Amino acid sequence: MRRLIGWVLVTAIVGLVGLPASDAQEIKGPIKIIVPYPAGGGSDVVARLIADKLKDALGQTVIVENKAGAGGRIGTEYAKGQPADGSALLVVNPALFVVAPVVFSKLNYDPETDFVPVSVIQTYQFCVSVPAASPIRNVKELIDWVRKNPNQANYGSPAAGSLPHFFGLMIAKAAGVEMVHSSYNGSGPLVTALIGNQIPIGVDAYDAQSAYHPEKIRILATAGAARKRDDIPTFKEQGFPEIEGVGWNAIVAPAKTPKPVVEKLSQAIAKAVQAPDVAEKIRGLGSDPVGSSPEEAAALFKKDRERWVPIIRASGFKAE
Amino acid sequence: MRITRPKDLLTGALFVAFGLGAMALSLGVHLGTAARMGPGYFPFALGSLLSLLGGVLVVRGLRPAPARGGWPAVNAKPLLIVLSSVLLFSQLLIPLGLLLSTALLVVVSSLASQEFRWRETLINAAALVAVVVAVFVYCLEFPIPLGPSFRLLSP
Amino acid sequence: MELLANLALGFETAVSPMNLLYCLTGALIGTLIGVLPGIGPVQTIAILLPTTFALPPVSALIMLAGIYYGAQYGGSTTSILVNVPGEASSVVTCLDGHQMARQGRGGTALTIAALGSFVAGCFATVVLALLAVPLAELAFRFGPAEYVSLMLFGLVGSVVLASGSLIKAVGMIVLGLLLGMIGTDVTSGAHRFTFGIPELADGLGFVSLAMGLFGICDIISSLETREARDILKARISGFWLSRKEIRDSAPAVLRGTLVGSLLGILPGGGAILSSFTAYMVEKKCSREPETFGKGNIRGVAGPESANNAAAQTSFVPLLTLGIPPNVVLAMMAGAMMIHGIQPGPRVITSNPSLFWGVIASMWVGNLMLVLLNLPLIGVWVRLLSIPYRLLYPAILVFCCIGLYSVNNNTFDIALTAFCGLFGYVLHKLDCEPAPLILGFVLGPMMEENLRRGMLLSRGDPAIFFTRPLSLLFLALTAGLLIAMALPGIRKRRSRAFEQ
Repeated sequence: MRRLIGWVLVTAIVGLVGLPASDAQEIKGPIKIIVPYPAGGGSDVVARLIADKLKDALGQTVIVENKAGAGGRIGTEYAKGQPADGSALLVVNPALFVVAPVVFSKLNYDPETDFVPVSVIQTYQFCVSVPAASPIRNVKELIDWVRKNPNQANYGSPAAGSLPHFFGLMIAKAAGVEMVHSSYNGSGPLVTALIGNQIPIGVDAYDAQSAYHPEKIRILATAGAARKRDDIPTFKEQGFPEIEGVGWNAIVAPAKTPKPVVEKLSQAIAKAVQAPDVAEKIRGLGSDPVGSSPEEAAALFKKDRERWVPIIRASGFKAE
Repeated sequence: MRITRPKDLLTGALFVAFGLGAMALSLGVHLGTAARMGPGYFPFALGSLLSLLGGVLVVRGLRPAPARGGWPAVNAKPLLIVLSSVLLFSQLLIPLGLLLSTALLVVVSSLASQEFRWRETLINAAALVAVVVAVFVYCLEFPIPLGPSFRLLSP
Repeated sequence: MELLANLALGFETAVSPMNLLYCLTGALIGTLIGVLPGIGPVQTIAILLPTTFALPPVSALIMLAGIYYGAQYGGSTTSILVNVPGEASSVVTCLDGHQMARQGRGGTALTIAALGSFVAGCFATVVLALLAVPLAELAFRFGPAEYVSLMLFGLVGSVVLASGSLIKAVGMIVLGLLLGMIGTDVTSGAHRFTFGIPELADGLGFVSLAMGLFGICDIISSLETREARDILKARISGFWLSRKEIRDSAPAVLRGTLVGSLLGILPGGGAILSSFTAYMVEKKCSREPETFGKGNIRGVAGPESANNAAAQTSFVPLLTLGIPPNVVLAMMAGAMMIHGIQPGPRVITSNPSLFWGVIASMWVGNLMLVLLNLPLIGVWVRLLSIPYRLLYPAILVFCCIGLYSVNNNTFDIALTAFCGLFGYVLHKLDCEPAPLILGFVLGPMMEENLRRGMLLSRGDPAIFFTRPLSLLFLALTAGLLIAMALPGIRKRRSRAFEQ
């Protein structure tokens, strides 16, 4: 009798546990989108925009959880350990997925084995700019100026170890010149220094700089394949085809999340990103809405690793 | 040698300890030069300054001038209880949830008072839990787990 | 004339019933979160941000701005009553404000804080309306050299925050600078003093440090001396100011307002320096500097006015240039962009009703806050009559939950316990924590600018002496040092005053 009860219990438990597995596409709510930065930042705003749309598309509660710390690495490590059933998603960017694995000797996550790509939310272009008072008008003049004034050839980026930091090195390498890097504490202070003519060259995301053009800051070139703005040529057009790079925000899930679930989430996120009102708001932030498939996201991650890792390695930059 | 100003002596020792510690740790990271300061340069300089100030205080604590101020009096009970109640809360909030850990924080920290009474403390705990839930969970909608989380039990 | 027309447009926008309602909502929420220790406007605005997407942009901004300066009002309440500063600028308010509360003058302290803030708010609104554009240019004159000299001046000046030994005060500043070094180095990205703890990579949390050194330490030391609290609560005076108090604090409010309005414009350090500087000015101007730190009303009036004025004028860089000078305003910039408004110089011309509407709503909001807060003072003061054995667990509960909500992280709570222990040791050694806090906040900024300055000049320290503004601050610092090194001069002068 006791045995029978035991079997009944076991069957019941197996049944309960097995039930959700039989219909893997059902995502157990609530879904949380982990943002590894404090509330209110760029990726947080985007995550909240998407969460709002996903709610209706999936019929689940979708919350944004801010798990800030250590430049996003704490939140990323935290997301790694979340249940891999579609109920946990993470917002990532090149700093976490491309730069960190190279510059940190002890990183508690592996972007390639701990996560699966879900969808790229948006991309944004990098640009190089000078104060409005500067005599420099285009990339060629910039390089000539750097060559003639090695003692003043400083460029500012919004943070040490950020993609713009390495993008500056990419420019210097392509042109065969040397520039001294000075990192600022974010885009705001960098822009202030540029407007005040405290630093001769700035390298940053286009959207962080575009607001002042052309009265206060002159953007010399953007780094995408096509022009971001009609009156600003790309590096390619100015004779530097090897200078190209975009930043991005993407959504990933813990590695073991079943494929059908990833597919379903990816489609829902893509639809949310491409919804006219959300897309409009993302454009308002100065970046380009994407909403890609998991495969496209994986391809972008791979391409960026190939592009940046050699430059980061060559710079000798180490965080620890 | 007589200790005339114990508080100066102790403060000096504290400063010297922090100063030397900072200098030692700064040596572990790149120092750099004045033109290209590494991450260790500024803290190393600060560490030396702090050790110097500490040294002056130590000397002042020992000098034969008229004694001033006694040794600091420490009452360990409130110190230990209050600090451990806060530490306890930090360790229990996630496994136990907001309700239980708040109640525990109130009860444990109340033990530090010399006028501790069980009934009053329990009422206080219940009232504070209610206020906390109303303010943080219902008004501000902060994402804090309310009850125990059983994630540990599931695979 | 144009100004009047602009202001009329602004008020027309701001006093529409709907916007008044949002202004009130913002001010109310702001006061609430300001009063709750640990929870700042940053988290609250972040959580409320999505709900403002649906509002018209002006209403959204008015509400967010209301939260921001409402929190400034509320923050002074906890500093004065329970000695828990929520942010750097209210650390100074603790010094004399909490002493006043202990003497039963908590109501008076809260009243002067509210009135001072209101006066400062009104003045700063006018400054914003009149001088926003030319003032914005001031920020651009600040390169690395100017920042270093300004911060040096602030640090040396902060010695006056302590009333005890000079060497100890200087040591506390240096210790604060060192604690500020914990975390990721801005210039090189390297981790320093983190002991391999990932949570420390972003540095020691300000809230943890301030709460440990002030709030927790205060609770522990109060529990050591049982009677202290209960005797005091017996004679809580009313909250209206006496004529003498008005005469004492009025000039302090004006000076604080001026200091705050100017420093608020500087990105980064400005708002923090403002309240510290105002306190320094008050103590230096006073004929009885020894009463500071013991409940001098001017020690509350000056800094409180300064920090509110600075909160207001910190909108200058955002509204005129689109550069957010602090995290709260960065979120507001985000909110504007979500609404398709690119913050920057074009806002004034392309969106005049938004620009002037927000400015006018600041004045309206300040009026609401003062009307809201004066009656509340009675309620707050009554809190102090709760027996201390019931009050302090409540303070601990709110502190702990507030700490958790900063990063959704329990590490910060544990860290606060350690800071409390550290604060207790310092307290026992008669080391005052206020200079340490200023050093802590300014340390990373000062180092960053020092290194940038030296890097950009290729190692030539002359940049600090050849740039006029930088030289001015260095000269002021030297003057301050001389004044401190020769205490005889001051004694003689104060005697001269009395004669």
